[in-house]
Amino acid sequence: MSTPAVPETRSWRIAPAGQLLTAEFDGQTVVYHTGAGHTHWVSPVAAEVLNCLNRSIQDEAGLYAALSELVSQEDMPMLAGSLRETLDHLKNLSLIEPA
Amino acid sequence: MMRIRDLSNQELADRLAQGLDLQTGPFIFHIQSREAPVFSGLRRLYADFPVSKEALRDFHVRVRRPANLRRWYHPQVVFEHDRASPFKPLPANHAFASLEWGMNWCIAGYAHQYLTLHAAVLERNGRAVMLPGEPGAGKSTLTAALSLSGWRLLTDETALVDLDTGVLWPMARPINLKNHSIDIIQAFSSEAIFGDKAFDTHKGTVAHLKPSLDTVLRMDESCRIGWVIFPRWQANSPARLTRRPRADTFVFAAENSFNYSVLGETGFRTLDRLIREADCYDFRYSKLEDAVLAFERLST
Repeated sequence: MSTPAVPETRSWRIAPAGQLLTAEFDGQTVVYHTGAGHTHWVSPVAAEVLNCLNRSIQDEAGLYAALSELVSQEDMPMLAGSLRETLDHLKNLSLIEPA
Repeated sequence: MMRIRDLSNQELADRLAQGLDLQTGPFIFHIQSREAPVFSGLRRLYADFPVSKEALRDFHVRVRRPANLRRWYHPQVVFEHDRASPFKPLPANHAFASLEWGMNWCIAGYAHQYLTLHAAVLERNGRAVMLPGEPGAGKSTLTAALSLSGWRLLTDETALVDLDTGVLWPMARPINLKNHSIDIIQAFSSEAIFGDKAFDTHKGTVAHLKPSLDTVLRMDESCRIGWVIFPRWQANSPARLTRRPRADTFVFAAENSFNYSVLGETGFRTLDRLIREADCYDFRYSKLEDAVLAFERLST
C-alpha cells in the first residue's frame, strides 16, 4: 500500500483584514469573516482547517497532521487532495491567504 | 390615546397636509401628503393605529406631485424621505403603494438598532414563526391566510430582531398582496379588508390587507422565535414540513438581511442566537386551508 503524499510545506493564515467568527449547528459550521463581510456554510474539513488557522499560522504539513487525527485510516488516501481543494476554496472565498 | 379612526375626514386631511405622526410598532412616521389614495389608504387600513404625540419622529416622509408639466397629462407622485426622492415618480393612483414601499425602504435602510431580515413574522401561543422566502414562493399569501386564522401579524416584510435580547418586534403594518394572491385571500376569508387596488405597478396589481385589531393593539409586544419556515406553493402538493439544516437557514437569512453586513459581528451574533433558538423547516403546500392546519398543529 502506498503512503499518501504529504502536502507541500506552504504556510497559511486567516485573512488578516478581519476576524473569523464561527457558529456550529448540529455538526455543521457557518463562518463569517468580518473583513470580507461574507457568510459561508463550510464543509467539516474546511471548518477544521479554519479552526486550526484561527489558533495560529500553519503549514500544510501541520494541517495535514491535524486532520489526519480526525479521519479514519480508509479515508487517509483522499485527505491530501481534499486538503488541497479546501485550501484553494477558502483562498477563493478570501477567508485565508498564504502567510 | 388617539387613533386614526378618531379623526374626522377633515381632521385627517388637515393632519396629512401638515404632517401626521403615525406609530407603527417602534417607529413613528411623520407623513405628509395631499393625495387621495394616501388619505383613503390610511383611513381604511391604518384606522386602528395610534397617532403619536412624541416630539421625535423616526422618519419624515412625503408623497407629493412632482413639479413638472407631466402632472397635467399623466399625474404622478413622488415619495420623499427627508425631502430627498430615492425612487422615480409613479402614477398618481399608486400613491398609497408608493408610501408603503417608501416606508419599507426607510426601515430597511436606517433601522440599524435592529437586525432586519427580509421575512414575514407571525405569533401564536407566545412563539413566533418567521417566513423568509424567495419572491413568488407564496410567503405573503400564506402570511395573510395565517393572519386571518388566529395568528398575530408582526410583519409581512421586515423582521426586526432585537440586538440585545434576540426577540422579534412587531410593526403590524398592512400586508402587501399581488395579483392572484388578492383574489385568493378574498376567497379565503370574508373578514379580509383590502385597500384600493393599484394596477400596472412594477409588481403588477397590488393591494394591501388591513391588519387585525389585535395585531395593532399588541404592536408593542415582542416575541421569541419558535420556527423559521421556508414556504413554497407547489401545485397538488400536500402540506408537508421537512427539516432544513440550521446552517443553511443561517446563510439564507444572512444573504436576505437588509443590514447584516452593516452590523458586522453584532449581526452575526444576533443571527446565531436567533437560528439556535428556532426549529427550521421547508414547507410545501398547495391548499391554504391545509397550510393553516399544519401551522396550527405546529403551534399547539
